[in-house]
Amino acid sequence: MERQFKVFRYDPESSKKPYFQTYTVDVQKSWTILDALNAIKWEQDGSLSYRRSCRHGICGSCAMKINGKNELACELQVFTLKGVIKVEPLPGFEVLRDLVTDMDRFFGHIEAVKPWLIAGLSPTDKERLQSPEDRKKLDGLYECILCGACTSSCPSYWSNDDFLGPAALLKAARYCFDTRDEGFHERMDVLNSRNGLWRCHTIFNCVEACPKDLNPTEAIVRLRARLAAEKI
Amino acid sequence: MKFDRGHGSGGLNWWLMQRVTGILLLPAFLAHYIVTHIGTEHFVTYEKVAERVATPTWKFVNIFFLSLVILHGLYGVWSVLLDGWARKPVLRITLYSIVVTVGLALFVLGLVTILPFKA
Repeated sequence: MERQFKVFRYDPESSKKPYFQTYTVDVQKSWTILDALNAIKWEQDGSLSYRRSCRHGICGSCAMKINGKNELACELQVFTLKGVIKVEPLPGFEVLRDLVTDMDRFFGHIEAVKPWLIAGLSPTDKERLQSPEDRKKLDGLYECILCGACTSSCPSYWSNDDFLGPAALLKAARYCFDTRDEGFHERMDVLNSRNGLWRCHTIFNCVEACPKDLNPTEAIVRLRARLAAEKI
Repeated sequence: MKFDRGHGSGGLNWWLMQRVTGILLLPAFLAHYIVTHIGTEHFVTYEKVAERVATPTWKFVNIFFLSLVILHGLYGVWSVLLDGWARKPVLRITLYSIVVTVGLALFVLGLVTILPFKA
């Protein structure tokens, strides 16, 4: 079955402005958008650039805007979409080339919230155990694959890319609500900064965009409640 | 790329203020609507409003209402400015000064409107 793909193209080394190029691809029923992009790159136009890696919705490399919505190209099947399929890079991030965006700032923000267990305040020789009930409290927080779909869909981030963004805040929540973690106060300076928690306006775009059905907005609200409880 | 935490305080207190004033404004608006438009016979007239505003209780209620509206509304404006425009220090201070000045001017304007009414 032939399908048309309208793909965003941009080469910073040429003087050409960004434009859309249409490709016709003979797709199979089981194909994902990534399969179609691979077919374009391998059989029609080797100059097309995009990120891909695991092909199983785990690495988060192939997040892009497909028919107006942030998606993982490796998870979205072609047959679920009608008409010409429009493929663009993630919005809100600087485009380096074609569908490849600059994720430097995004990962800088993730790093700023110290995404690791801070449990050094009470040293122990033993393993830090966690009950199944306490572990369950992390459901919905730990599954983030860092694809950037949420942050790139956030209007607050579009207008201010210094804002931490939903992915970094979800990551902060994952550690702040871990019963073994003792680093909430260490993270507070970043969370309670001018570009931290308070720039979120609960627009819920991040919830809609997340390919793993996570809820960064809820995590942000919980972090705010904890911060308010600690400060007051 | 390193995270830029921005200048000044984070905004917890102002964020809380926005929530508290929002909650208070809801019954205040409702009360204002009922008293002005439903509790009044026929049409709202200047005399009826003037008579009510002249009492000390209503003066206090109106000034409280005015403060809530100005705080809530202008913090909303400031929040929008912080999101998109007030990022460079000079521009931020300028815009903040304008917002505060507008707030004070509106408050004074409200006071000189409410206070002179006499029973």
